[in-house]
Formats: sequence, C-alpha cells, structure tokens
Amino acid sequence: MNEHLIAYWDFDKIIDETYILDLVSNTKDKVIGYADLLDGIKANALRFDGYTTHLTIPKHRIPESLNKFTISVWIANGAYTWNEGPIIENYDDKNGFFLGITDMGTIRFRVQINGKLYKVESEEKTPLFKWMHIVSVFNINQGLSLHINDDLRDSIDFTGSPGQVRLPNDVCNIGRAAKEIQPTNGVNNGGHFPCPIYIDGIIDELKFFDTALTAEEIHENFTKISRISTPPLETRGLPKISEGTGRFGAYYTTLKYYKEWDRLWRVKDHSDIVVLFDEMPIKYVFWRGLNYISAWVTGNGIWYTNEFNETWADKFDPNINGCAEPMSDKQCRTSHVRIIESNDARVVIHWRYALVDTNYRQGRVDPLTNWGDWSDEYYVIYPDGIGVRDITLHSSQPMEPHEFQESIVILGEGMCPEDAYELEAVTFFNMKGESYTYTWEKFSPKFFLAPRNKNIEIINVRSEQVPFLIVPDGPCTVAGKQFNGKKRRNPLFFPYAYFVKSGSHFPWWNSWPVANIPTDGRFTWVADRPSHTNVSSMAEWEDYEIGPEMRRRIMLHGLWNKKDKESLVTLAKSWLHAPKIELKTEAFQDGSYLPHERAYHFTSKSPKSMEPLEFLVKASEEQPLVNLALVIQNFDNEVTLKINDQVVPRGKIFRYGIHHDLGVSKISIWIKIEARHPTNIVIIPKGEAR
Amino acid sequence: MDEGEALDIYRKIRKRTLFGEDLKSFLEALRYFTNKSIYAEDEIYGWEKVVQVNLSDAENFYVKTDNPLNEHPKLAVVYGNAELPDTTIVTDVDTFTGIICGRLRQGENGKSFEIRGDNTQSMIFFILLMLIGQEIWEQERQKNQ
Repeated sequence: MNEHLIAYWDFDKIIDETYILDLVSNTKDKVIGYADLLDGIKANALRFDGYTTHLTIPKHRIPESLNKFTISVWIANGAYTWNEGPIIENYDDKNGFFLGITDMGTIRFRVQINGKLYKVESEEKTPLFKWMHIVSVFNINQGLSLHINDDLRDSIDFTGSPGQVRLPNDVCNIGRAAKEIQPTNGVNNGGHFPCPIYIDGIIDELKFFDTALTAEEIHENFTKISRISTPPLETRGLPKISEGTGRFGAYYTTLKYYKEWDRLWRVKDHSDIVVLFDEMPIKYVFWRGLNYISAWVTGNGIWYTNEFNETWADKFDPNINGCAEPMSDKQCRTSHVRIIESNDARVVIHWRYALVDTNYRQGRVDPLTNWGDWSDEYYVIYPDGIGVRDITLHSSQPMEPHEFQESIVILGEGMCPEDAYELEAVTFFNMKGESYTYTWEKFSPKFFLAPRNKNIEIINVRSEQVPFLIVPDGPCTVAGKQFNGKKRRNPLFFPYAYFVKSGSHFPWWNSWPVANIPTDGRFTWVADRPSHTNVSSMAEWEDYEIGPEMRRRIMLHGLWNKKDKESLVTLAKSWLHAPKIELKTEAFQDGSYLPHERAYHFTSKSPKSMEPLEFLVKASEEQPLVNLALVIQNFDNEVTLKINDQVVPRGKIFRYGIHHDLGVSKISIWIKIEARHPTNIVIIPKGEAR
Repeated sequence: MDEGEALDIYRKIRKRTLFGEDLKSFLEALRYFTNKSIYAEDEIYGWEKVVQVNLSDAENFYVKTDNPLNEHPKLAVVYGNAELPDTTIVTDVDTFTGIICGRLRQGENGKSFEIRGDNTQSMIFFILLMLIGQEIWEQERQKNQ
C-alpha cells in the first residue's frame, strides 16, 4: 500500500526549529504557532495546542482530483473543538474533503462533490486523553467509510458515481479550520463571533493515500502498533492550589493551569491571589483564568462565585454586543486585583474591572467624559471563612439596568453540574429562621417563593462547606433589566430557569472560564472543558449608597458548615443588626459598626496614647455577636485582650495585625467569639509609649 | 371565577392549548391567582406601569396594579385603552394566547406581535405565570408528601 502513499507526516522531528518533514515528498512543512513534540504512538507526535498550532500544506502535493483516497491518523483529544475542527481539510461550499473532530467529540469525515455533501460520523463522542486510530476512506465506486481503532463506525454506499473529489483551495489545513467559524451553541448571537477553530490534542502518523485502503489493510496498519500508551496530555481540572504555610492571609502567586494555556499569558510571578485559611481547608481565589472574578473553593475543590457587575445594550448604547461584563475580558486587559491588607486578623482585596463586551467595547461610555462603566469591588475576608463583598458600580447611568449577583459554580473539565450540586440545590432562609429548599429533580424551579422576605441563600454543593450569601432584608429598587427601577419591599432571588438543555438539570456553559473564544455565552452538553453552571441570577437587594455616577451594594458571603445552615440566621443578625457599642474610654472615639467591613471602627485620639480601649458590646438574642472584628485607627502598638476580665492570649481566638497606610497606622483585630449577652472588651497596648 | 375554573385555564396553559376564545377566562384566572398569592403580591407591589394589549380581532385591554404601594396591592385587568401606557403589545388574540402559553414564539408563523415602548414590562405576564405555576406545583408537591 505504501506505493499509494502521497503524503506522510510522522511528526518525529522538528527541523530548523519549526518544520516537520513530509516523508514522501521530502518537503519541510512549517508548523505555525507553538510546536512541541511529545511521546507519540510511534516515536514522537505533534502537540496541537488548541490555540495556535497548525500547518498549511500546498495543494500541489496532493492530486487536484481524487477517485479514491484514504486518510490514516492517530490522535488523542485534549478537548473537543468549538465547532468542527480539521485534522486535515481542503473544502469550500461545493467541493473538497474534511476529516476532523466535532464540538461534541465525534469524528466526522465528509466530502463535497459538485455541491452535494456525503458524510460519515462516529455515533458517540470519542474519549479524551486516549489514543485512537482513525481511518477515513473515499472510493468513487463504492462510498465513504470511517474506521476507529479498526472498527467500522459509519459508512455510506454510492448508488452511482458521485464524481471525483476536487480540492478547491490552494492549501490543505492541518489542525486549524481554513476560515473563522462561529462556535456552536451560542446563547446570545449578539455577543458570539466567528473565530479560528483549532484541534486540541496530539496527532501522529498522518498519512494520505491516493487509494481506498481495504479493511484488511486498515487492520494491518492498526495492528502494526503493538503498544498503545497513555498520551502525555495534561488533564486540566482547575488549578491545584497549594496549602502553603497553612497561615491565614492573602498571597500573590501565579497559579499553574496547564502548559499550553499558561504560556499564552504575558504575566510574571504575581498575577493571581489566593487567600488561605488556617482552620478550614477552604480557599478564596482571584485567578486570571476566571478574569479575576473571585471564587470560594470548598475543601473538596468545588469553586463558587457571586459574580460581578454586568450591563447590556440598550437605547443609550445599542452597539454593545450582548453582555458587557468582566467575563468578556478574556485577557484581563482591564480586570486587575491587588492586596490592600493582609495580616493575621483579616484580608482586604481590591478588584477593579471595566464592563466590556467580547469585542472590548465598554458599556455606557459617556460621550461627554469618554468614561464608561467601571466597577470597584472590595473583599474584606476574615479567618472564619466569611467575607464582605462591597461592590461599587461607576456609571453615568447607575440606575439603568445592571446586575450585581448570580450564583455560579465553576467546574473543571471532566465535571458536569450534577457532580457539584445536590439536586436540592438551593436553600433560603429569612430573618425569622423560616426556610425552604428548592429541588431541581424534576425541573428547574421557575420562581423562588417561600420563605417570604428571604435574604439568605445557600448553594447546596456536594461538600461539607457550602457557599452562602446574605443581603439586607429591607426594601430595594430593582437594578436589573427586568422591571428596572421598580420598588420592592423585600430582596429578590430568581432561579436561573432559562437555557436548561437536555443532559443536565442545570444550565451549563463553557464560554467561561478559561475559554479564549469571543463569546458571552455558549451552552455545553459535554465536560471536555472547564465550564460554569448557575442556580440563580439577578438577585436584588437594598442599595448601600447611590450617587449621580455610582451605585453600591454589599453582601456577606463565604462558606459555611452544611450541617448547620440554621445558624446563618444568627450570623445575618450579627451583621444586619450588629450590637451597639458603649465606649468606656476617653482616649478613643467612635465605635460605629461598618457593615461593608463587618467591623467596628475606633480612632485613638493620640497615636502616642497607652490608654486601653474598653467598651461594652451590647449583644442580645436579636443583636448577637458572631466573631468580633475591630479596626482602630491612629494606633501602632502590640496589644493584649481581656474579655469580661479574662485575659485571652494571642492565637487563633485572638488575632491582630498592624497596618501602615499613607499617613496613618491602624490595627485590625479579630476575635473568635459568639455572644447573646453584653460582653466587655478591653484592648490594652503593650510596651512603652511612642 | 373559582379555583376550579382558574385551574382549568392553568392546565390549558401547561398543555399549550390556550386559544383566542380563552382570553377573557385567562385574564380572569391571571387576576384570580395573582390576587390570592402573597408571593405575587410582593411582585406587583411597586409595579407602577401599565401594559396595554391592542388586539386586531378582540377587545383591547390593559393590566396595571391598583394602589401599587399599598400593603395589599391588586392586579387589575381593564378592557379598553389606557391613557398613557408604558408598553403596548399589538397583535391578534390567537397570537397573544399562543405566546402566553408557549405554543407560538414571537415572530413565528408570520404572526405579528409587536411590543412598543418599554418591552421589559411586557414580561409581567410571564413572571406572574411562572410564579403561579411554581405555587401550584409546590402545593401539589406538599399534598403528595
């Protein structure tokens, strides 16, 4: 059969840095993009990275018209394609051939002859991270067939001669589609654009014959390979996060994902932030693969986020393509994150981003100032795994439609929504302690009803710790698109009941994270890539602050013991109805509670004062104390603590850190305590007066 | 309208068999379910808009909330034309009922379904229907437990 071999790439060697040899014509073919050789089925193979790697082969090496041909190749998928992606192709609307991988993981071989399409395709999706031998055969006198691992998967017989397969284009493409194509399964075609479609996998032993191989010859070819090993592709999941020193705090790092994705990023060693906790195996992560949209990570690795600000095209700015949001900022051009404070007592992180569409067009750009929508979010996080999300939207139209929250679980490749959620996926509480759990077993809830005046949402993921959020329970004004501006007398939580397709109980998309295609929404039914899934969206709650060019909301969120959901009501009371303070020291002032920091603020009248700070926290059943955070401004001393006259040593129960801002020093203190009765606190400076 | 009649209409919506001749009963059922639900009351509270429906082959009507900022606001369905509607739907009665029950989609079958003004307000019908549907389903679920 080798006399019929007209092109053969064994991918064993890279020549002159970027070339692969066609062993039949002895021609060097340039590999465009990254060219890595990995262990192949025989010697080496070429890694097609899914982002850049491809070859274009001049047509003259293959006859312009073919009565018969066979393509034989070994391939291992790293991921499926965004639309059909070619192993090798040369076609236009009327003529040519295509052999490749589809978005659903099937293998497709088709020929077009004078405008008529003939197609064979494997019925089931092919595996990821596993070698397979693919052979496609065209015979003008017989038909088309597709074989995988020596097994005939599909065939069609011609009743008469369909004519020759002619190659219409100047080049044959290997690893990348000739033209940009819209990815399949777009949700919102206003924000879903054509892009290059690449193969993500390893290809080896690509052979083109100008004959139709017989079943015996295909068998012989297949059995020549005696040992099929596991292809050296990295599984991806989501980044593995080191436990580090096991010390609570925020840490800069650059999280490793997988080589082919990591090397696209023009970053150095401090591009991401991880918050570690010392008493729980949880984490809080700001990763560039999520465009810095922050995520709580449970002990068993389920990632969850409360989203960001989002807006859409409207009469003011009709040219926005779909959604304007940080999810679309695929290269983090505007989305940046920084540590403001990190010590034993607390962490403060600042995330700033522009609301942009997938073409980097910013939402609601004011023609007068040329400023569009931006958001600043501050995250104040304490050692108990609870943080405040403090969201400030800057906009010339702050009261026009914007979103502030969705409940989103992020999945690594290989996971589907059911791997992360319980089917009874969401539980709500109100401040009276009434609760209701919603099930997705039969269908997605269409509306969240009970309990009335709910303000606590718990996402029931398959973990000991579950994500929760708490919002103020008072009246609010709708910020979202639907009924924008309407007054409400309570918060709103709305199920994400749209876009639930067969294959999952939950909506499921892989347009984010990590994906670098220009889309603001793409459904998926297969777990070949990282993805996300929602249970609720468009939550509405009371504004914290409104200005002519800003709108601010805050929420409490974190991870909580799944077996103790009821106690979130006590936590909510401690935040929304924080106990009052009775200050007992002349040397300090203030004592007000700042919900956006979940902390009481004091100011020392003199930075040199060595007077103790003493105050009574008037905790009660309705105004309980659940862990006490203090910030004392104008203060730069080590301290000791007494609670109700008992000395509490510095450690996991009593933590503090001194922080120096421009012009002022302050101490942040965190005390692990739960109280429903008045509690006396004394903070005593140590050492000499300064 | 009593509970049984209202449920009959709801079942027609579920089966996507709501047609033009059911319009008046549908509007009665919508009002009946909305005004007996504490959850619907929370949704129509503060809704100060008017959605007008102009039908080429049936009587025009509009929906609004009576006393939207009172403790117990009520959904009102009024036949005729509102003075200053925020949203106006212009269609025929079969298309309207077809879209309400999901038998038709906007722009399908060459049927005209035009929304003028603030089109998000027209969602009031679907929001209330989703809420009502969930409430009926929850009641059935609790009965079966």
